[in-house]
Amino acid sequence: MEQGFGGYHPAVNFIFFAGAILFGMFFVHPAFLLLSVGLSCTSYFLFKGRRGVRLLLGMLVLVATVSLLNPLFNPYGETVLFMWMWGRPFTLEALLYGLATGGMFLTVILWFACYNEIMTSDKFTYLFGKFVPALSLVLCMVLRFVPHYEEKIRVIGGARRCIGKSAENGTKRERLESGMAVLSVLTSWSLEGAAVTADSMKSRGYGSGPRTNFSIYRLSRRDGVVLTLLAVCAAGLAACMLRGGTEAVFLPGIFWAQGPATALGSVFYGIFLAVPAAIQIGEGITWRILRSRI
Amino acid sequence: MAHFAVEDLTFTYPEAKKEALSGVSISIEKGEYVTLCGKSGSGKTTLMRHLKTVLTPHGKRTGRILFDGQLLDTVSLREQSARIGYVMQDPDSQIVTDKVWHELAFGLESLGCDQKTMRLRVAEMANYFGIGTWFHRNVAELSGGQKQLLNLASIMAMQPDALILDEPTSQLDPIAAADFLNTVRKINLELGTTVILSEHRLEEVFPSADRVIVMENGKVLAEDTPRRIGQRLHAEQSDMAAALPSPMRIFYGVGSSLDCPLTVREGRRWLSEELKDTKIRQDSLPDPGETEEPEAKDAAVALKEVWFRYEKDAPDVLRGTSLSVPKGTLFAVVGGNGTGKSTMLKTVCGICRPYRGKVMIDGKRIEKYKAEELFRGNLAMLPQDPQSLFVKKTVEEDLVEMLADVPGSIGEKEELINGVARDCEVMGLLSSHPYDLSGGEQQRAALAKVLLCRPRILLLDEPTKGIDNFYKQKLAEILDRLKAKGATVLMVSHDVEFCAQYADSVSMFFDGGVVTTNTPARFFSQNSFYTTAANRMSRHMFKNAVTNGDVIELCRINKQN
Repeated sequence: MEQGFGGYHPAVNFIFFAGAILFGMFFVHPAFLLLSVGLSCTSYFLFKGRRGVRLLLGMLVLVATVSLLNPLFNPYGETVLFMWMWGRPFTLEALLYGLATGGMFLTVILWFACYNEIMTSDKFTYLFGKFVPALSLVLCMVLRFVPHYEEKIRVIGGARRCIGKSAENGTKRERLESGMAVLSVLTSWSLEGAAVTADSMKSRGYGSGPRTNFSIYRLSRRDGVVLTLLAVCAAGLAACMLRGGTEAVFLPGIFWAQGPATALGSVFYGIFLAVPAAIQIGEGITWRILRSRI
Repeated sequence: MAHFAVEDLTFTYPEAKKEALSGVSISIEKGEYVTLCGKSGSGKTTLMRHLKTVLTPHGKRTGRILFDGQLLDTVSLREQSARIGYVMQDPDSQIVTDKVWHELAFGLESLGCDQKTMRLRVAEMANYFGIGTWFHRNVAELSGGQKQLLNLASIMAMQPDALILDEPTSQLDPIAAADFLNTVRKINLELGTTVILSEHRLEEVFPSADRVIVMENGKVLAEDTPRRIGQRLHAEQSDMAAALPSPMRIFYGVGSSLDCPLTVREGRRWLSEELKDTKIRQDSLPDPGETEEPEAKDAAVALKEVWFRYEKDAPDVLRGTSLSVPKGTLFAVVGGNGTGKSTMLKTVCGICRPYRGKVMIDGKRIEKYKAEELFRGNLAMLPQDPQSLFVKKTVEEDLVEMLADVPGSIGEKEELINGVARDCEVMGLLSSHPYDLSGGEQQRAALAKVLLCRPRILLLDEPTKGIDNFYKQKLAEILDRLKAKGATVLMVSHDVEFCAQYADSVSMFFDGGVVTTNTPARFFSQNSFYTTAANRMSRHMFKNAVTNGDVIELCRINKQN
């Protein structure tokens, strides 16, 4: 993801997702919930394209299940819709509460899914490498070694199968022994490789003095603009929250905050969450216009 | 002033009885391209590691090493890191980080360069090495050749004035290797960087080297221009003569009085000159005739219209492959990278199941065999990386492990192991740790292990990768002995020279299928690019000379008449 929102500075990406996920976990007020559900679905679809539809549908099923199941186990609430199972009440409040919880799940999971699309490992290491340089190097070495070892295990398994030493159809004990053998090959082979890696690091001056960190990211003007926008919206939203604009109680009776704090808060929240979608759509439109001019 | 001066260096590894280096004195000028050659275990790597303090092995040492007239030990670590670049054999393990761009900058980060300098240097290197298109990729996605190029680029970003390369192409296929060596040559010519390179593929490096240093048993045996080194190795009947480029070997085989050729181009000119006054009466060797494709039921291995892909939505790797390998022959399959050769071997040994088509082993469909039955006495495969087979602390224990669940008395097993060890010439290595062996020795130990399955059909995946010409000859002898015992060998390889010399039939693999199959003589004399150096050198005079021996033979016959 190097275009659209993903093309912005990692700090912009990270702050947005931190905010979206944090707010998403706290707000159960229906207005806010509708905003976050709508925009997280839109963003996810924009990032993933058609491939995203499957997860979206799956998530909707999950939300429906959670909201319908909640009243079955939760008999509290004032408005009884009907009675079931030897007189247990099925209440409207519990149903709505279930719906709200399901919606919250949905948005948080979708924001995490978007985060995975946008925040690649190198962006993360870049952001946090500044604070802990040694950790960031370790992190990116781990990211290198995991696929490297996976590949090696595959090679070893293949090699052993070719001499009839796989125990795929064997007893538990045979399989265990065969697994140990693979592990033993992997260990000695990797130790051998690790010695070379250490030599290669030393040979390129690792540990010869203070280290710096290279990055391919640059904080540009548009990053600054978006960052300011996000900050203003988050601050406004926080203020509205302190004023009680986001309060919502479901059980035993329903109370949803209304008034200017709620209205203003949802405007701020809407703008905040719409940032990636707007960038994504805006870029699409720009390209269409540019192409039509050719 | 010499760039590197090694003065009377003697070195012994701890607890070793023999000296690894004894009385080595060499001097390397600035901007020189020096090739270091010698059999494995001759001390090349030990000597090269002495040229950089952080890599110098521990042990007893006398003598001194000067870098730019200054004692190497007194040059600071930082300066050495920047000014002396060192590339090792294994392309994979040298890479430290997960992204190409980060790897390029790794050395600069360690040197504490600022952002601006790093940006410029990284950009420069990405351009020079043509990395631009894969700059943002994960290193795990790169091919071996790209990885090694990245290692070189990452070192060049520090702008060293000397490059030390320890068998950098031994793990690469011939095309990637030639590419890599050309880049090294370009760096030497365009930037004047001193290059010290050890290599067993002398075909490629001899023409570009200014000077060749030959090592044997930790001593410098000879030190001269490539042409004169060739002369000396030939005169002394050294084992190393087997590693000389084909034109040189043909030249000495014929025994000409003209100048010795180094490249195919010079070889062609020399051959024309040599046979100028001779009338060519016989321009081809007697042709043994077409190889006959046996019926599937008589073949050792037969593939019939085999289709295979790794995943449902992935493209087909094998696209209607048909092949039949006659019993008791050495059958070679050649072809470029990623054409599906190795996948084909995997279908033969049942690791990959084709979704259409038949695989027959000894006239019986592979599905009809039970797993134990297939690998006990029928089929076995030697993988590309022999290291992936070693499980124990010594070669002997490793061989014993193979027979752990086979019925039989201890005496019988011992006899079996000894027989295989003798066949593979690893008797002297039985008590060594498998990882302490050289590439060629590891390969033979792994082969011994595979042969304990007593296969009638042996599959080899790139058996000549990373081993020098001397060991290749040994491998060929071992394969010959197996053939004499009635075994069938099917190998896939990049090594055109090896296939031409030792195979009974050669198949060309392309785009998931076998394009053509023929005897080596017919196969290689039809090709103009994908053929041996001997053939390229002699095709304007002779019709079907494929190996060095063929060319020498034809020269001799014609000169007699």
